[in-house]
Amino acid sequence: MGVIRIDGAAVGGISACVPRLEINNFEYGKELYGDGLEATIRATGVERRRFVTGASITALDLCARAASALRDSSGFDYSEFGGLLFVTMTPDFFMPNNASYAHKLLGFSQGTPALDIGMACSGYPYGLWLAGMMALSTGKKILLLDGDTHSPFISPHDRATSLLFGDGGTATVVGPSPESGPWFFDFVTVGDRDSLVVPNSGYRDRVSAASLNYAEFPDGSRRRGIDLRMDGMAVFNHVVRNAPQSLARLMEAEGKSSEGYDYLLLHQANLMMISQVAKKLKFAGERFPTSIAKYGNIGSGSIALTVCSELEDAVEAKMSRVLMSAFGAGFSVGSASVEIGPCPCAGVVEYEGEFGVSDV
Amino acid sequence: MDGFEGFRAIFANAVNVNGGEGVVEAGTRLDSLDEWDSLGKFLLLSLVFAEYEVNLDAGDVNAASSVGDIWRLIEREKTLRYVNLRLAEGR
Repeated sequence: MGVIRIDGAAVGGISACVPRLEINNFEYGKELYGDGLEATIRATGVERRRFVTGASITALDLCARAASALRDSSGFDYSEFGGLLFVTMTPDFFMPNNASYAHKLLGFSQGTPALDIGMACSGYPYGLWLAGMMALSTGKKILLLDGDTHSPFISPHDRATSLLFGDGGTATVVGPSPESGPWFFDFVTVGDRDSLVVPNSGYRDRVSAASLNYAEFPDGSRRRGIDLRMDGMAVFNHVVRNAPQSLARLMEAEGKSSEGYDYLLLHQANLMMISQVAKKLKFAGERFPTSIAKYGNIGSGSIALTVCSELEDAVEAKMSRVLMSAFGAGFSVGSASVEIGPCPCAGVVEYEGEFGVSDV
Repeated sequence: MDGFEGFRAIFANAVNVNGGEGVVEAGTRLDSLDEWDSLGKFLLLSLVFAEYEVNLDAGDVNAASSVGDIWRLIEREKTLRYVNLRLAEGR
């Protein structure tokens, strides 16, 4: 399809919320990884991450708290907003959606749309694209919530996944802004549902009593039918084949080299892989911020979390031209070039309390 | 270190074994290595890409039975890249 352009949209604010329970991978991985633990942590980059406790706190809670923190610090009145989008793979229920309840919790006007977007790790650029179009068509600000809780369906006995994933939620305000520079998007969809899948998570292979039993696989890993299965090599192939090219198309459409961007933000999948992509595109150091050491891979919210964790001061102080790419199950890639800031950034707040929903 | 010597060190790093001669050889069977699992394979792909800019295909790696098979995959990709470069220059 080629590069897509939106004129006149801007990020108006951004925030993130993580659970309080911090997992230290140097302890958590001792038994499963043995002598290889430190090398594995060095390669994946995940030293710590946050887990919700049991099933009592959800992506809806984390995202709603991120949104309320942003409201409290910036004075946004969500009753005046034009709509709400919720990107998640881990909704409270299959039915109803998360967005409708977040809409109520945050005091949106009943005359505004609220919908979920079922995207995995590639979701944030898709959310920005849709929020940008909604902002232009309504003339109002849009709230983009993006978050997941992976910890309930990651097997602690699966060496491919057990150290990588964390939980977190984010909130991004997108509004009309005629003075702002253009946004560019590039999307890739491959159509693969083997390399990243939760087998018993929907209606194809329905959950049953057997889904709760751990089964042993040829590589020695044990997981349940309700746990995430990841073929790391296939994912690596997809990312390396598609993400650098997608970003190169954006750079070509804008007529810019890497020096033309303030930051490259990549989905925090694992450090070794994304560092290779950054190196290929000639980004390093401060221009390639990462949050994976602190929070792991939280899914599609990882780019917004990285902004809040690593760029809070920059976002509040100045306009930055940001190149981003996110990639994940589907197999799906979304890349964008957008301006962020100067605008309110509430940073990363911790979720207070042991239970959801949801005194925002 | 060039050639197979360099690859031997990379491979040993990925599967967390002592990379000295006699431990990792071209003839070493992959299924004899404890850590030749989903994580070890992923790490190998990452390290190979970093060193050689070769994106080893998951299917090819799963079909390989020895360390030498994987080294040959890398050499094949490097050769293909060289030939394609020459063809592009000749155009």
